[in-house]
Amino acid sequence: MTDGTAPGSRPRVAASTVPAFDRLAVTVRPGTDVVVRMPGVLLVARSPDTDEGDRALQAVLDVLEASGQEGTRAPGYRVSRALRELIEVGAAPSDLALVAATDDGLALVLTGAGAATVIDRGWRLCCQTGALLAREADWPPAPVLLDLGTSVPEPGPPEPDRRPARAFDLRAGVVPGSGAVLASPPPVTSPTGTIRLAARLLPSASRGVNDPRPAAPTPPRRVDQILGVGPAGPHRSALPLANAGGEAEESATGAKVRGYVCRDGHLNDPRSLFCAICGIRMAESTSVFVEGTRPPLGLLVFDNGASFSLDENYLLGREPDVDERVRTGLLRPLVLFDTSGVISRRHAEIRLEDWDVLLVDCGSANGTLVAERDAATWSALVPGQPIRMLPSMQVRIGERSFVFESLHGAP
Amino acid sequence: MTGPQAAAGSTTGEQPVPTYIADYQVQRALGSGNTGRVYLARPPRRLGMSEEFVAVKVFNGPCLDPAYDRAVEELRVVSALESPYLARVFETGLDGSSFYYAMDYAVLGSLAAPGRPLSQSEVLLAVSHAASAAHVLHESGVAHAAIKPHNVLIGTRCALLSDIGLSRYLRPGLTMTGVATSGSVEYLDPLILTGGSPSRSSEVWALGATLHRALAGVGLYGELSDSEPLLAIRRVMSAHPTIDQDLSPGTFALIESCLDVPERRLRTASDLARRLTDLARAGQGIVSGG
Repeated sequence: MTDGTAPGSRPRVAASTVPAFDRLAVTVRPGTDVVVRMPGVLLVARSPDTDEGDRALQAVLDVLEASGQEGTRAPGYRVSRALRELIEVGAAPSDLALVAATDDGLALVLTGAGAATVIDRGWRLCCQTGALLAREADWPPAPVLLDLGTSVPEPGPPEPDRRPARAFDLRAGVVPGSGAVLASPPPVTSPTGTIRLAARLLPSASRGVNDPRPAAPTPPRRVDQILGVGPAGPHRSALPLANAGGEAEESATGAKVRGYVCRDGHLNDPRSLFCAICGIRMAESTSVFVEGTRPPLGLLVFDNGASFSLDENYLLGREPDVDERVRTGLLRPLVLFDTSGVISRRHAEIRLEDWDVLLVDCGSANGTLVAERDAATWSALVPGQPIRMLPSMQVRIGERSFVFESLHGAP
Repeated sequence: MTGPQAAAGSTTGEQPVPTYIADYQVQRALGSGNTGRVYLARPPRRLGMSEEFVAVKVFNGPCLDPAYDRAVEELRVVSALESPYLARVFETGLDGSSFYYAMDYAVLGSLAAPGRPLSQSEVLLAVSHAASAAHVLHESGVAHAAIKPHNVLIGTRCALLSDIGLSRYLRPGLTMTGVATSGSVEYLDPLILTGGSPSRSSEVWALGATLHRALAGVGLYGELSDSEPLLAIRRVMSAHPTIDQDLSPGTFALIESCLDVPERRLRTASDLARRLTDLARAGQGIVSGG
């Protein structure tokens, strides 16, 4: 076990100048992957089982080593950048998770099955298979677990590791394990101890390009005359003269729900005390439990004021049309424009179930953050795991955000 | 007022004004909302137009071909209608991936920002013309879905209803037209917010709210924050509209019948247009000295 770099090649730093990161305890969870701790850096990577894998792991160790030699104990930005370059050219292990100290927080790099979990809070960050997630975050208020999605093995006599453990070196900080827990720092640097994750993404090739308009006339890509050209479609009939023309229309899917009908005939969530449409109290005399077509369950109000009625399931993303369920009409697309390149083509799904509005992250590259009404903290959704949206819940996707305005729904 | 047709209270200074949109030579920005921006521009020679200027509206975000086709069809349906009170749309196009269309430019601005002060009768007539145009749309199966003072242009001979709400077609699945700026939520029938679709009834509501804003100078919910769309929507969903007490009894009653519950609301925009013309003839508006 001497293949690692010789000790002493890293500069020694006086204890008084050691920043918070290197004073924190790291607990290694038993397992057969590789856990690496170097100044300002904690890494979990898939254990190599081929020569190529060995080279990939060594390349990462070289990156960490090189940044350690530069003498700073906050190598986060540099390590993150170098690691991303390795990942993008396929020269890094297929699965890894890294946190590294920056001057005022942490840099995170995840790829493959790599995941970071803020223990006790249930915040979990991970990325789509084959994708790369790199971002900066404030110090989390609780310990962070890095792992590769593998469960902790049952206690018992460990399987003898038959692979040549060429990279393991206790002095160099490279040991076997399935994951590592970085303890939470003493009084955190951010005043409220909140985690601020989504907004800043390290520069990446996928970042949207600015599209300045040319200073010269350019012929339109498509042009269609309107004046004097009749419509192609059939003649339309006039809008109905119905008295109650503004009433909620039946949901196109015709989803049926059971609920109570108010005095004026509006179907309501059985948990509601007041009618969502006319506001009258749901008195006992009207407590007829019936099945009917589900009314819209509320609104999604976006940061720019655009509002969407929750009468259908939605797929939110940069290009939701790529999804088969959108093309077949099962999901309604909701295109999110942003220039930061943070929003995935299929990012999150809004699903209506009975009287509940559920939000699911579709395994997006950069996650979906939610915060309950008036909460100061955002938490990341676990991909594929639906949560029930509560009234006034805020959701953040890349640089866009929206609020769920409930019409029904129990408080 | 140097920027007629501009949205009141909107800011256009944040983004640089492009020199060209496709081959339209941009003169200046006229207004903006969350759906897009409107510019004053010189049309290209290829159109052979006699107009010196047109208004060009450019929508935010990329526009895919199916959405473009739906918008073109909708605009052609409107364009084929015969009403002197509908603003003309000349052509649509894609500048790169951005959807734009060129329409009538009204030198005298809109009801939201008229180029000269309007008398009360002129306001009543302008809304009457807009209501007539809306009725023609309704009779042809089209809901405007974005009636507000900004979209009632002051033409030289009459008012013109412009800028039909195309967001529904450009962003497929959008059941409710995005609130262009949160201030626009005051023109939205609250039933739309609870899931209703644009209808004759909701357009009568919007015309009533437009009339109220133009005559009373205040909105039905007071002033809604433009920067806090959520607060504006909550206000509209929780508060009842309040009609200005200083309006003449005739206009007060008319606006009241536009905002009533759908069962008792004025049934058609045409009914409203007639009532407005009668009021204008009677010379009513705000009670002078009242």
